[in-house]
Amino acid sequence: VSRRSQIYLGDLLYALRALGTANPETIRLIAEMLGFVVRNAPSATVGTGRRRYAPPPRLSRPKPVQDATSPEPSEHEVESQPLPSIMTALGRLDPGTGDDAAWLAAVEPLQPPGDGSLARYPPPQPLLLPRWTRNIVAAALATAASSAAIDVEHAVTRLASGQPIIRLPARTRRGLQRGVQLLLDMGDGMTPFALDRETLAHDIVRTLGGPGVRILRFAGSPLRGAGQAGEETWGAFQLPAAGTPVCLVTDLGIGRPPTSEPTDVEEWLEFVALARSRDCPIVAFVPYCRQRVPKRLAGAMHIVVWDRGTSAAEARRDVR
Amino acid sequence: MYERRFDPAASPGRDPVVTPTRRDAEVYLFGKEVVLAVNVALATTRPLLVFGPPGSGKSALAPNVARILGWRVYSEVVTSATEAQDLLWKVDAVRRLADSQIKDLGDMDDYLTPGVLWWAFDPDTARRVGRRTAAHASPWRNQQGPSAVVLLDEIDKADPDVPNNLLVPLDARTFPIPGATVQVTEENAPLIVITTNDERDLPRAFVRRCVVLSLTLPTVDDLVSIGEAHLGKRPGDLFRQAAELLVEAREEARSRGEPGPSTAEYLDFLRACLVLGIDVGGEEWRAVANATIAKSVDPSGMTR
Repeated sequence: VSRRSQIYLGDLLYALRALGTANPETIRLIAEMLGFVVRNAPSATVGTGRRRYAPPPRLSRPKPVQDATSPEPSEHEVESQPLPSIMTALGRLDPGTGDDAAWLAAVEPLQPPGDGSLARYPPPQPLLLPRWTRNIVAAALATAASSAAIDVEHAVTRLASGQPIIRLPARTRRGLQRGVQLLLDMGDGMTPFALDRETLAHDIVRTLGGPGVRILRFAGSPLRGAGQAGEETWGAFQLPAAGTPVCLVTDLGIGRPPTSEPTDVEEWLEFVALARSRDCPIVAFVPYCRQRVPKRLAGAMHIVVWDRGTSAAEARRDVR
Repeated sequence: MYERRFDPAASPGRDPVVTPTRRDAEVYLFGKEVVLAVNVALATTRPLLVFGPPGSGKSALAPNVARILGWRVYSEVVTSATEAQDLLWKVDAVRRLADSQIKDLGDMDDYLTPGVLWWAFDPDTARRVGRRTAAHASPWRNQQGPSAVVLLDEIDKADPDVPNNLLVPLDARTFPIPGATVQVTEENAPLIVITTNDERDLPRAFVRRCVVLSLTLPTVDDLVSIGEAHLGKRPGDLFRQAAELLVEAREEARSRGEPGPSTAEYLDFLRACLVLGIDVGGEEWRAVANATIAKSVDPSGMTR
C-alpha cells in the first residue's frame, strides 16, 4: 500500500463513478467537498475545476502613483530615490522647540478618500511568505516541554551502567502547548508596518489558536506600560506564567522617527532580564535586517527577521 | 439522485430524515449535504473533515453514521497534549521496566496499547496485544462490524505537527508497530471523521487530503424536528416557541463573540417545560428559560 497524494481530479472521477450521479447540482456539491470550485455551475465540467484550497495568488506590489508622462521607475529606482522633502523636513525638527513645529499645527489634514479609491489598490504583500508563515510562526514560538512518554534510551543507559533511576526520564518535545504572550509595538517606528503587524498577529492567533494567545499592546517598550485595548487603558506590564514565550512584534526602536521618544538598548535589556527571571523566552519579529539590530539585543533575544527571505528552518534555528 | 452506500433513509424502521431511538446520542438530523459528504468520503476513502460551530453536530456525526452502517466506532478527543503516536499505539515502558526488574519480562506485545487507528485498521491484532496494560479491558474489544468509523474530535486543539504526522497513516492506511505492520485493505477502509472548531488553521497539505463538510447551526425548523425526534410530537407550539427563543439568544451571544446555547440546552428547556407542565409565555416559562438557555448568555437574566 503506497502513500497517496493530495486530493486530485482522480478522486472526483472516482467519487462520481462510485456514486453514479449525473445531477449537475450533486456533481457541484461533490466537487466542492473535494476542494474544487466549479466556475460555471450548474453546467459543471470537471476540466474547469480549480482547487479551493490552492495557495492564494501572489499579490503584486502596489504601484506608486505617478505622473502619466513619466516612465514607471523600477523597484530599485524607487528605493534609490531621494527622500521626499517632507521627510527631510521632519528629520530636522526638534521636538523641544515649539516654534519650529508650529507650521505643522496649521496644516490642514487631508480628507479621507470618499470615493473608494483606496479599494482599487491591492492589500500590501505580507512581509513573510504566506505559504511559509504558519510554519515560521510554529517554529519560532515552539518551546521544549516534557511529554508523557518515557525516555527509554536514557533509562536503559542508566540501568546498563548500574545507576539507579530515581526519577523517570521523560522525553521532551517542541510544541506550542505553552501558548504565547504576544506584545504588539504600537510605537511611531511601527507605523509603516501597522497593517503587517495586525496581519502577523492574526497569523499567530490562527496558528496557536485563540485561547493560547494573550495579546498586549505597548509603545516603545513594554516596561512603559501595556494593555489589551487603547493606550488609555494600559497599565504596568505583567509577565505571563513562568516558561511562557513572549513574542515581540517590534522594530526595537530601529525605525523610530527623530521626533519620537527614543528607546534605548538598556531599556530593552531590562525587559529581557525581567522575562528571564521567569524563564520566559523572548522571540522578536523585527522588520529590519539583522545587521540593523543592536548587537547587544541580538544576543539577548531571539530575533526572527520579519521578511520574505525568512524560512521556518531559520526561525527555528534562531530559537536557542 | 446517486448510489448511496450510506443512506439513513433506508435504515429499517427509522424516519427518513431524523433517526430517533430512545437515547439522545442516537438522534441525528441528517441533512442532504451531510449524507452526500459521507458518501463521497466512503467512495474516495478520504477522511471527512467537518467544520462547524459548537453545537452544530460535528462530534455526534461519526457514532450515528457507524450506528446506521452497523460498523464499529472508535473516538479520540484530541487535546493540546495529544501526539500523533497516541492515535497509533503506545508502549507501557514503565511496566516493562518494572517487570524486567523482577525477572518477569513478557513479550513486547504485552506492553502495547493500541490506539484508535490500530483498532480501526486491524481489530484482531489489537485484541491480541496489551495483555499487561489497561488495553486488555478496553470496551473496544467487544465491538463487531465489517469496518469502522473513527472520530478524531477537535483536531485543531493539537499542535500543528499532529495533523502532518497523521498524513502517512491516513493516506497509506498502514503504520509500523514493533516487529510488524498494521494495515487495512481499501475494501475495509474505515471512515475517518475529523472535527475542528476552526480555532486554528490546519496544514494545507492535511486539508487537501480530506473531503470537507461545513455544518451550520440548526435553524428553528431543524430544532423543532430535533425536539420532536427526541420527545415526540406534542400539541401546541412549545417546540417552535422554544426554538425561536434559543435562536434569538444564540444570535445575541454570537454578536458578542460568545458561544450561545446549544441543542442540548434546547432539549433541557423542552423537557423541563413538559415534565413540569409549564405553558408558553408565563412567568415560569421565563424562569425556566433563564435556568436552561440564558445561563450561558447573560447571567443577569433574560428579560423576554
